[in-house]
Amino acid sequence: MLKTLHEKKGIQLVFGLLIGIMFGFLLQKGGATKYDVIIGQLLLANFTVVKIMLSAMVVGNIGVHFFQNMGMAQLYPKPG
Amino acid sequence: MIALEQKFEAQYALPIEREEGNMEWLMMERWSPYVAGIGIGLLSWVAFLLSDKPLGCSTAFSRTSGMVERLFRGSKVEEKLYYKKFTPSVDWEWMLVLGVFIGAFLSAKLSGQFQGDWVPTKWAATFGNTPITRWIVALIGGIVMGIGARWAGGCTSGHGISGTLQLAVSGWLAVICFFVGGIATAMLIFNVFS
Repeated sequence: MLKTLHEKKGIQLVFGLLIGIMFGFLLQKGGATKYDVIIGQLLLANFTVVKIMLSAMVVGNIGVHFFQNMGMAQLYPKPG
Repeated sequence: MIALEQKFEAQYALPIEREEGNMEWLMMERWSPYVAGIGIGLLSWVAFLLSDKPLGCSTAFSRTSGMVERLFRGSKVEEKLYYKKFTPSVDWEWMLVLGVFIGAFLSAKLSGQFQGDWVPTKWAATFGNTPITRWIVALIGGIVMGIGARWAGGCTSGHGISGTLQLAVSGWLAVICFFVGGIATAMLIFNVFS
């Protein structure tokens, strides 16, 4: 549906940058860029990282599969 | 008269305060992890819709290593099978990773948290404040993580977030193994070697 947009290389590089800026912003605001948060998760003392990942997974899952069903997006599951 | 002026000031001050109130969330030190996670989930919709791409990071590091190698060995690098598959060039994902650095910097800067630390507090509390020990362990950790992410074909973003949200078996398997390996290593380092 948005095929023509996907093929525009220059615009896609700008989209990549903008989406990346938001991604980094959200990771920092969530605390996932902090050593103490990451190591706290792995020592099972602080579950911030799992909370971020699971809520991203749930929200992403719903939207992405909806858009796939609507024929607006394609999924790219990686091979095992 | 003074009272009137104060009244006026109060009236004029209000909208300014409100404006600050609107931007305050960008300057907060921390958001709820659920809010950050929901934001990342929504961002993955945008990435799939507008760019036809799942969020991921580690392939960009492979491409960058190819670019660095090219500086020393020239275009011979491009003949390697690996770099034929992952051409050493700037693509969408490479720009995404660049953006992650910028976005994280902006977020830290806006909340006044941006600072350089040679040794993180949790590490210092257990192993002391000597930077060199921390650097060596961090370097080894980084190398192992890089190899692992390439073996698995993805990192905590590509497998852990994008793979799991597409309900890819590979993503779920990888993220379970990341956590098993990470927890075991962290417990070993902090509880056995400390």
